Amino acid sequence: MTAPALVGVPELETERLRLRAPSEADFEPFAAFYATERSRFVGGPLPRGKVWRSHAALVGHWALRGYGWWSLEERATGALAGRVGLFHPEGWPEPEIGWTLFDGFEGRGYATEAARAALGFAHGRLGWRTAVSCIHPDNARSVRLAERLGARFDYAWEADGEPLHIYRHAGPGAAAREAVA
Amino acid sequence: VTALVPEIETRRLRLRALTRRDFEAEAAWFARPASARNGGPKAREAVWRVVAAMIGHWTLESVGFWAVERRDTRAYCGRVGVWNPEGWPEPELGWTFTDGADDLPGAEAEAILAARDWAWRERALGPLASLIRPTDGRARRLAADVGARMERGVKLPDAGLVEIHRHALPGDAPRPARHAMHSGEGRA
Repeated sequence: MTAPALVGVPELETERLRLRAPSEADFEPFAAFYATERSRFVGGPLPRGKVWRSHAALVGHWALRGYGWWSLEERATGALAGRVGLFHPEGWPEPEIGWTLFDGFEGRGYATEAARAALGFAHGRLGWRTAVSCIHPDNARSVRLAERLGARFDYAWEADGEPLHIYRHAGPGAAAREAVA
Repeated sequence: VTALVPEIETRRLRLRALTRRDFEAEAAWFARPASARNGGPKAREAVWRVVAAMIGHWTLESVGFWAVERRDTRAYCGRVGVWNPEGWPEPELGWTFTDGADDLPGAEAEAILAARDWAWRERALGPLASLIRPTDGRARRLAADVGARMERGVKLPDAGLVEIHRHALPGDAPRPARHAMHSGEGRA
C-alpha cells in the first residue's frame, strides 16, 4: 500500500519552489544523492540502509520538535530539487537551518530562496531569536550562501569527527530592516 | 504529525504514538545501568535518533513502533511494533521495555500480542519474525511466552548472528498461559 503523507507539516511556497513534507517517494532520490561524492559535506556518502534511517529520523524530527526538514519541489516541473530545513536533533549545538540541493539545481538561487522562506518561518511562526548553519569548512558554496543570507562565522564545532563551522544568521527583523534600507 | 499512528487499548496497556516525553523517559532509562538488558546504557543523542526514526517509520512504511503506557498510571514502559527499514531481511516484530511494567506480570507479552494482532488485521503482515541475539535470554523467553518458535540463525551485517523467532498468526495457536512464570525473572 502507499504510505500516507506526513500530516501536520506546513507547506510553504516561494516564487519558484514548494516546501512540502518529506515523503516515502523522496527516499530513492536521496539514496541516489548519498551514493555520490556530492554528499561529502553532509555526512555522505552513505549506504542505502543508513540513508533510510536518516530519512525516517528527519520525518520523526517533525513530531519531536514541531519543525524539521521540507522537501524542495520545483513548482514549474514538480521535480525534487533537494531539501531545506530546521534541524535540532539531541546533541546538536543549537537549532540549525540547513539546505541540500541536488545536481542540476544549483546556480539558480534556489537554496537562497528556500533558506529565506525557512528562516522566515523560524523567526515568524516559531519565534526563534537566533539560528545557525553548521557548515563543513571546505564547503565553499555553502559558506558563500550563508554569507549571502547575512550569516557570519561564529565558532568551530565537530560532529562525527568532521569539523563544522557554525555561521550565525541575523536575528528576526533583520530582513525587514534590510528591506527598508 | 503522528496522527497516522492508531491507538490500541489492551486490558492494562495503551499503545499510542511516540512523543517527545517518551523520548525523555527512554533517555532516562538508557542512562541507567539497568538498561543493560536492552543493550544499554546509550547516549541521549543515540536514543533521540532511534525514537525519531521509529516515528518516521510510520510515514515511510505505514507501520511502526508504538509507545506502550500503563492505563493505570499512564507511565511509559517501552515500545513495541513492526520494524522494517530498508535492507531489513523481513518485517520484524520488535520491542524494548523499560522497567515501567515490571510489577505487571505478563504486560510485555500483552503489548507484543496487541502489536502482532494489529499488524495482521490491519496490514496483513504475518507470520512476523523477531530477530533475537542468542545471548538475549529475556527476549527469547518473551518470544516463547507469546507463542513464537525459534526458526533459524541468520547473520546480519550490523548485528552479527541473530535467531529468527517466528510468531504465530492471531488465533492460530492457543494463547500461552505462561506469562506469570517468567514475570519475575532477572529483575532483582
